[in-house]
Amino acid sequence: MNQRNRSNQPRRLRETASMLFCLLLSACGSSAEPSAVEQGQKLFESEALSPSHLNLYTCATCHDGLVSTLPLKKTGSAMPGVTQRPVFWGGQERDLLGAINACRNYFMVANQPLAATDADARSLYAYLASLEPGDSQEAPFTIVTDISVLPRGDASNGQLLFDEACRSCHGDMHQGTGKLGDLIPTLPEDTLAAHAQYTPRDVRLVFTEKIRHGLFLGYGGMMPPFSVELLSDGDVSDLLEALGVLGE
Amino acid sequence: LSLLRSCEKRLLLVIAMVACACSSSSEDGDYSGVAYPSQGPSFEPAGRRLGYVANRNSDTVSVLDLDAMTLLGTVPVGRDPVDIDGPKHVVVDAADGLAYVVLSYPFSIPSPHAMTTQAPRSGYVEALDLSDLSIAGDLRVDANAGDVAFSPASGKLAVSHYDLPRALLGDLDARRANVVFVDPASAIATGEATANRVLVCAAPANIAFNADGSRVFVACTGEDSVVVVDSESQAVLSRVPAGNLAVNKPYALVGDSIRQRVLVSNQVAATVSVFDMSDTPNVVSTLSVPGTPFFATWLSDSTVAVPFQAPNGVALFDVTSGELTLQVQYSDADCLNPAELSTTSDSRLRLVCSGDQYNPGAVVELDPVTLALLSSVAVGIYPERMSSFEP
Repeated sequence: MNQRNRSNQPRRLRETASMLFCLLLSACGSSAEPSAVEQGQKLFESEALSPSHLNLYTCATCHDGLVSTLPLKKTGSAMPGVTQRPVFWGGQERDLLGAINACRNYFMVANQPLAATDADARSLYAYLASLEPGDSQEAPFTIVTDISVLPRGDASNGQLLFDEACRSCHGDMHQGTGKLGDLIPTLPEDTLAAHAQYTPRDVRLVFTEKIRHGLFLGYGGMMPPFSVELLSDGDVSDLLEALGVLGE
Repeated sequence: LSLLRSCEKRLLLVIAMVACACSSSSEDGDYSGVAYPSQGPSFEPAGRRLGYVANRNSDTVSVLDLDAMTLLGTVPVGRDPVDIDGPKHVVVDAADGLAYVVLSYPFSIPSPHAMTTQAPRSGYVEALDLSDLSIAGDLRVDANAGDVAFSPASGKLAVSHYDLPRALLGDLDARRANVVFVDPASAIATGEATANRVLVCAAPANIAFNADGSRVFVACTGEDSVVVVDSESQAVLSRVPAGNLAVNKPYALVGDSIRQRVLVSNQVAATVSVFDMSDTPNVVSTLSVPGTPFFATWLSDSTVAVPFQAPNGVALFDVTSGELTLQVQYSDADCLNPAELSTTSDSRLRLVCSGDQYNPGAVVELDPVTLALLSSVAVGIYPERMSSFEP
């Protein structure tokens, strides 16, 4: 008996150790958190950065995490380099977290600002820092404040620009297929209907203003503005032509 | 047996290593570096006199080394990342390590959509950390915020509202706008401040506390008067005419260093009325200015220096006699639209030049005797006033 028991000891030890090892590994696997960078990337690409059910945006809606090869015109700058930049929002914001909180407040319906010590803020920073090195220069972002009636444009180029700049939020022109949410107007029909009492000239101004100002400068809503660096006045003319907002 | 023990030891070692690796991996969930490090300039006095200039049309505050007359840096202020917040005046609360800047939101955008939807936008007072001008907190006030004044003696802050659209309404009470009191001002930085509103007069423009902070003197453009408000009871104590003409249009108002007299610049009358700082102020002297007067200053107990516009210039007056003793005019290149004169404890005289509101303005140093221009520092767009910090 003793012999047999003794001969079984190594096997039992191995079995016990293996069981303990597996338990540890399995416990380890189940408790392992994603890294801060992974958490930050997930936040960047999800709507979770805002607690509001009304939020339709992610950071990636307006910003490329990596320099994109897709022909999309996003209203915000690409993120590599952002942690090294001296100012943001065309020089109107002096610190990165303030700039992020401005995005959350204006576009993501998140009224409570993140503090630098908040876990989400730290994870987001970890992700942004992981994108370095990038372009550390101030990203140009010039907003046209005074709106004027633009000359007529080129509809075929306007259709291309619509696909690059508008479609990801508004969906397909005229149908709205693939738009971000029900609150987003299908272009141009919903916006024309909302301004049915305006003259054709003023409707053209309203479309121009919306493209240039987004929700800012007294307009409202949740759309970001397109800077002159992203869309020239000629581009806006082309977009209006494609949308059939001719001012006549 | 020894083989068995050796095997046991090795297994335990492996288990310990796995456990160790497991516990260290849990730290991966939090970022271990410094998130959002400050990248902006800092403005430690280091024994220097510093000047703070609010640039209304570029949404910035410029910080100057007043001893060396150099620009240390310019930082954005305000709440809106796109619209012009219109910082009009910054005042320094050295004891609390704060500065307060008033945001006026001066522009409305002409467009068919905005014309049907845009309501007057509330002003704000923003508290800034003096060390780097980072934003420490803010407090909402009324639309068309005008001037901000701070009393180091009492720790109180007051904000006027230069509400010209309201001043055009028919009924006198409807025309009047508030002066907001905040006590203590430093509560803005902690988010615990409340705005106590006192209906004062039509288009209250610029304001100053008396020596102990118990009274606020207000230049009331829309009622052509100077109003005294008790900052404790918040009662209006008196309203006196701002000048001796039928229409004077008071705008600028500044107290002297010991807060016994106040200078009120009347821009239609082209006069500066010198008042005592009693509860019902008396005019002690009237100075006739060869232009549109702005924010004047005292060079001595009997000498006042007045900046004026159209043409650009500065005039010196003997307050006792009311006599103009010296006037100097400047080219647009030297100083376009002089707005405010101020002195520091070393008796140096500096002048804020507003410029054309589209291009950078400047702060220039003048010889206090000859008024000759000694040096110039470019700041932001449309500066009007400068506050100084003395170590």
